[in-house]
Amino acid sequence: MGEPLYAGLRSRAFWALIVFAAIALAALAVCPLVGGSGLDYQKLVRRERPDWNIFLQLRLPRALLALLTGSALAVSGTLFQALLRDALATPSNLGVSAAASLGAVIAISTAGDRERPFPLVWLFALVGAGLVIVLVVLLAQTTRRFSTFTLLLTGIAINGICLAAVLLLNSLAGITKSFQITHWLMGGIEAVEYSTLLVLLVVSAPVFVWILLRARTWNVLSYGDAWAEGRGVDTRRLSIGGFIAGAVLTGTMTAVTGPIAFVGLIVPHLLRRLVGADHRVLLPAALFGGGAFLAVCDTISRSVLAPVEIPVGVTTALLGGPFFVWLLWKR
Amino acid sequence: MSILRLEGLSCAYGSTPVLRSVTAAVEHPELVALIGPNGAGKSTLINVISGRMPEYQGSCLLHDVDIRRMSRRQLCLQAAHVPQQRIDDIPFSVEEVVLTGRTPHGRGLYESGEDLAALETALDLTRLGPLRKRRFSSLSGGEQQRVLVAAAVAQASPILLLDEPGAHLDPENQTELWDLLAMLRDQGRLIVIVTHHLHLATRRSDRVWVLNEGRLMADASPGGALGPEQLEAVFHVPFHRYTNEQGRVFLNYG
Repeated sequence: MGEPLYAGLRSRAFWALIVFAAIALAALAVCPLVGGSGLDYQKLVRRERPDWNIFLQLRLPRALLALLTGSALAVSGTLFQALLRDALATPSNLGVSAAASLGAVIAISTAGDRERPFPLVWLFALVGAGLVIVLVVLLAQTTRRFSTFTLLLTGIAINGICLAAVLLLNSLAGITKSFQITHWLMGGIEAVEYSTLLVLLVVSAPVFVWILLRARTWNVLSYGDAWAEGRGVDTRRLSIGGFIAGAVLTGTMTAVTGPIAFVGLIVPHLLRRLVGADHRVLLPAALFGGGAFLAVCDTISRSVLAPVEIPVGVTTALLGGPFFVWLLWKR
Repeated sequence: MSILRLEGLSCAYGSTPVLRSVTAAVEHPELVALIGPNGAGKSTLINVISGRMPEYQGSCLLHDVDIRRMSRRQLCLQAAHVPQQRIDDIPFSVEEVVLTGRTPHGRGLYESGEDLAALETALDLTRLGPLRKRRFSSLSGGEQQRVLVAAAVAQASPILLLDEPGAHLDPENQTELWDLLAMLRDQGRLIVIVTHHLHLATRRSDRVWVLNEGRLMADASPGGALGPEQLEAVFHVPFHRYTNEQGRVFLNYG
């Protein structure tokens, strides 16, 4: 048996971090330069208008937002799959994203006519995501023989209810609001202020760190509660912490971008095949790989039918839908 | 000083009592077989001792310390629990599963040298060396069970609580499991094993606890506890007991 047992883990985790961070950086460097209306690279180098401004105020913040959102969705998807021991558990499948959307739509439709009051939308999205998490945790606590199957079915119900409520609000809203809601629901990465990006980073960075530092524990937790408890893991406290962390990430990003489907499903699965299932390797890979994936998807969305822009949610859904079916098929 | 002491343990699911004032103590490293009909409360008792049932009356002491005063981690350093539920569909290798037993030993993100040494010892004892790189889910039921016991061995706790580890094992694996348990006992561990293999319990254990409807009906050496009349009273089927010329005890039922 060739390789010394387990010695490789630390370096595998290290290299996963380095390689995927490099991929994310490469995506960040390349994506803003590609697009429907080609940039004049010489003007860009000389920092001349309008190309430099397009790069700095539109393309770069957009790529950064894609990166952050992709990271958040991939990391929370990986985490939920570990917590619920199910390949299909993601924030969207559990209804967290839908509830966050409903919260956000309530905020949009009740707010004044200002463009999009981010703090309010954010708060409502978080409340929506939080309520579903409370429901999930209660379900997990009260039913002794609680199964992930029950949870996923509950997720389907929550998705349906939230969608209905969103449609109701949409039909009650005036034409301007209705347009805003529809636009937001399509799920898209758009250029945002750097101050918004900073808020997102400040909120998500500590959550990322909290999740990544517990990678070894998520491994044990993915064996099931009975096994994990016998190995000294306080499963109750950690699961609740993990669900809250995932909800904060999902709720925060959804508030800005709208729902973006399937990233939390595709990325963890592809990466698990590439780097293995150990969360000490998988989570750093998901952190940067998820970001790079969404940045690339977003670039495809705005380039492939230029000057028409496809919402990135459409691109990820078109890629992810078939993938989801294939996963179901394989089970 | 007792390794394990149970004082008036009672426990209920809703209004249904599952354990009724169970009292027992083990002073020395022994192999204790916990037997009884389905629903007698065997798993519940194991779960209470391993700290997985927070609501119970009475007390449970490990090395004279009440488990209520221990954190999960401290408790798992004292007692390693192998649950009854099968673990399936995990994408981890044998080594990785065994190393989960080292979780209570450190808060670090990676296993220490000591953890890796414990892994080697556990793999040697359970003779899992040749399977170490295999995916856990690709193993047979007997092999999987051996890996879980190996993880509990790697946990290096003085008490092992095994909930029906032999349920899916063929005679050869079953015998090997009891050989392993006897060896671990000789190394100074207290082992409590829930089992329905009454003949093995008779032959190989040091002490038998018979649990029926939540009551500890017997706490004695196998010879004393497993008289046919006592067993018939608990299991409601006729039992036959036979000792051969070499003094080996055979137990049969039905």
